[in-house]
Amino acid sequence: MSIDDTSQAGNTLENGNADRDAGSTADTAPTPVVSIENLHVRYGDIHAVRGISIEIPAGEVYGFIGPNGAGKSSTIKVLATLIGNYSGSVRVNGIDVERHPQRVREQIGYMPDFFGVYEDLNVREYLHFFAAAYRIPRKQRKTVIDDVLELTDLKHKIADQVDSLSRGMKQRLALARVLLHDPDLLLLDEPASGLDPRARIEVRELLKALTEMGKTILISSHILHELAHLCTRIGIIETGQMVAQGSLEEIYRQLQLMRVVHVQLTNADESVLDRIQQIEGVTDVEAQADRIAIQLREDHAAVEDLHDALVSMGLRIHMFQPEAMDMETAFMKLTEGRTA
Amino acid sequence: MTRRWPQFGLPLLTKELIEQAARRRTYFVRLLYASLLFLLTYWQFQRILARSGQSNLAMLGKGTDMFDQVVNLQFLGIVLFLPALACGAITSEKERDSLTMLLVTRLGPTTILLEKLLGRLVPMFTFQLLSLPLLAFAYSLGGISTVELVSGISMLFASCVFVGSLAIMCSSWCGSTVSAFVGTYAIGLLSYPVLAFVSRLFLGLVGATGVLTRTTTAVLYQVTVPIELTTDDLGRLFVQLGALLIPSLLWLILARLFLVRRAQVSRRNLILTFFRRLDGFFYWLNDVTTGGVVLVRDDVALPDDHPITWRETQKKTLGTTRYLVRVLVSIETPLFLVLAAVAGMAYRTRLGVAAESLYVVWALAVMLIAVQATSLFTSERSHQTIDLLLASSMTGREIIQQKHRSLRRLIYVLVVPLVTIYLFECWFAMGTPGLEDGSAALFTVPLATVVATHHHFDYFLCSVLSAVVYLPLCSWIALFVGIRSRSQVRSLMLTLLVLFGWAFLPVLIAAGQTERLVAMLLERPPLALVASLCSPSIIILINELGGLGGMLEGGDLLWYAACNFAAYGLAGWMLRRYCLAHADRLLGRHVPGESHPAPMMTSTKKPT
Repeated sequence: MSIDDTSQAGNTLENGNADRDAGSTADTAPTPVVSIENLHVRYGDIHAVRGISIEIPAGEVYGFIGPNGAGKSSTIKVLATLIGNYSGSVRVNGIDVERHPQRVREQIGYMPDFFGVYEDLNVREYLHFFAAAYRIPRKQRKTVIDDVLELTDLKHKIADQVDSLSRGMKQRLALARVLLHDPDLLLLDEPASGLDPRARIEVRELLKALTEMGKTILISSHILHELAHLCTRIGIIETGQMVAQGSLEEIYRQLQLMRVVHVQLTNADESVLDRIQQIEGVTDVEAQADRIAIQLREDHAAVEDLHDALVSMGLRIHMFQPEAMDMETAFMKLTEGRTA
Repeated sequence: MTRRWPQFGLPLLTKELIEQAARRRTYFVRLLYASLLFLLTYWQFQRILARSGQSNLAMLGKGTDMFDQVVNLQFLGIVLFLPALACGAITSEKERDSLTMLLVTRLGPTTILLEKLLGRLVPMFTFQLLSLPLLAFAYSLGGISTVELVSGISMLFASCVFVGSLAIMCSSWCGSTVSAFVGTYAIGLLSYPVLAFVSRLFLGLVGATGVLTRTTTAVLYQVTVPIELTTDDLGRLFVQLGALLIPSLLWLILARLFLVRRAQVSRRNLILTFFRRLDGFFYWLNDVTTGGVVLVRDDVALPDDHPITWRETQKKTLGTTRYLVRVLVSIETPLFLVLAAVAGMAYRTRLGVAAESLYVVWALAVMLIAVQATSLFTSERSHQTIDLLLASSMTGREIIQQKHRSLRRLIYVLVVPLVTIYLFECWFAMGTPGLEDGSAALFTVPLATVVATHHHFDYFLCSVLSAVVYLPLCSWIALFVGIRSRSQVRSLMLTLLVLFGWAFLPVLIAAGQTERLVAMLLERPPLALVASLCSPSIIILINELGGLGGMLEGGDLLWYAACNFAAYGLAGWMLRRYCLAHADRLLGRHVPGESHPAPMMTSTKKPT
């Protein structure tokens, strides 16, 4: 097995040229591994995905975030060739999913949000089973399986029954399975869901290793800070629509324009809220139980300017705390918890 | 303090009925049931009409036949449908992990049980209501006393309660609906003759002399014949009602006991458990007798290029060679004993019993194939492994082909007992040659059997063809239903309904009159051909009664057989071709260049 950086790039170019659908963009810019344009997925009356567009270049880790029912799994399933009733253009390595699903299957490794258990198989048989399903030549199977077991640190479990493994080990085994045929694109649907902290860290480390190998990964997760550590870009999806997309910094920057600052004043009187409201850049002021929440537009005034303005108004500041921006805050700000 | 009056309500029953009303299946099944009932009754009416020479006056007093027919059909409906309807009442809650939630509500276990039972009985009662116009019509023809009318209706009602309670008890005990389904039929089959016997014992109908003077078959018939559904003897009616309702109460008490105790019971494969216990016994026996010598070890090779077939035949316990041999032995041993036991009977009885054994083996074979074939894809769905296969490089065609390949071994095994019966019948039809040769019979009987098959070549060819054509056809039908269904219970029930309804219903309806039916058909060859094309069981009846019974010429049999098997062979081939050609779409995979159909959930989990 050759899980190396170069093979992936080579495959990408080869497939991009081979497929007539790839068009002439191949000679100007590298073909993105995933290219989704205006994707719509419907289940009867339910419009699960509404016009999503994503482009993921080779080697990128794209985090897909959204509440339950937002359309993440549907999008991933379209890429995994498991859903047919979609409209829009979906390509993997330049290959049209709609026209050449069988070729796309060669390029992807799909890990669903549940672990499919063949309780009657042990780890060796499980991997041999899927190696045969991916048509890996019989002579190479043992080497390939040894390699992926080494990578996922499961070599010592090779004779154990799959059903007897812990959930974390099962997830690692699932990752070993998707790596068997050395796919360019890994589609990981909630890989850390339901894992204990140790197992989560192990999976995260494994994903980091795969990233270093140059694999392109599309990962959906509810564990937001996991994605913050891992992803080069994220897309936040709600009710089937992309709410925000870009690198973490870009999203934070967008959100920080509406920064909330919490302050505690020792000499606040009844008119203080009106006075703060007059400060340039302040859009809203709300008195809370023990503090005042000030919403500030940072493109009009910096946090430091607000501090200065409060001091200049003669207010004595006991606490001044700009709200920290993390993935969870961003997620909560961007989504409203609605489903499709 | 104000006193709170208990509020009367049946929330669970209401929920069950609303759910049933919301399903399209409910109305489809009701329509199918009504259509069958009315068609068959109409057929009976036509027969009465024919016998009466179209004279209205001659028809007077002829309502009994029609009345009996309707009641018997309704009873058959209860026995066939109600276990399937009711066995999932509690197990479905267990499978959804919602039973414990119900148990911690203010609804007591008894209330839950009774509401569940009622929820399943109400649809069955609506089926019974369908026959009221027919019963009224039969009553208007005359010949039926009021007591008989009351007896028919009350016995059907009591049968519903009996079968429903039994199904609820099994559902309360078992961890899965499939186990409850099998358990209900098995206990029902075992308990009903006992009930009939007890009922007769009460009535003093089976005295010692009676038993001795009758032939074995006659006694067996007396014991196993259903309780008389229509009787004009009030005393007998009360005894029969007691024989049904008292055990029903017992089933309900047992169900109440099991409901809480076995609310958290894990799912078990009963057949697997049985075979594993048998394994344990044989290992113990081997240890005791040989000190644990193992001649052939069960070493399993790693998968070749057909991983799905490999897993189905090497790793699934019931698909391995060892277990297939056990299945064969389990069928062949009692079959051999039955055939040997009836060897000394009078010729006609012997032929009848052999034919009945054949029907039983056919039923068993169809059942086993249906269970195995429907589980091939539904188990992948329930284990959430289907998506992994579908996202792999294997084509849908390969997946289905490899799955079906694992069924072939079972089919080969099941052909053996069928061929055993065919050979047996050929040999016996020749007058059991070679049996008197003492120890040389070991050689002379097989030789004589070969000669007998030559002699009855048409019959033997037709019989073997029936196994070669029908068993694969059944397997493809079951596989197709399994691919389309999400749960094994649903697919199994649908498959059995289709296969038994199609193949066994004519035999059941014509029970006791099969010879007359075959004779009638053989008098009109085009009708016989059409009938045999409508149901595969007809050609088996024609073959058994016509081929061996000398009711028709050999050439005619070959003609029927050729048309029949060509038609069914073609149907099987077309179904296979359809499954393979549309494999991706059937499996819920994306198909290139096809207009987008509504997606089928590939796994049981809904994507978000």
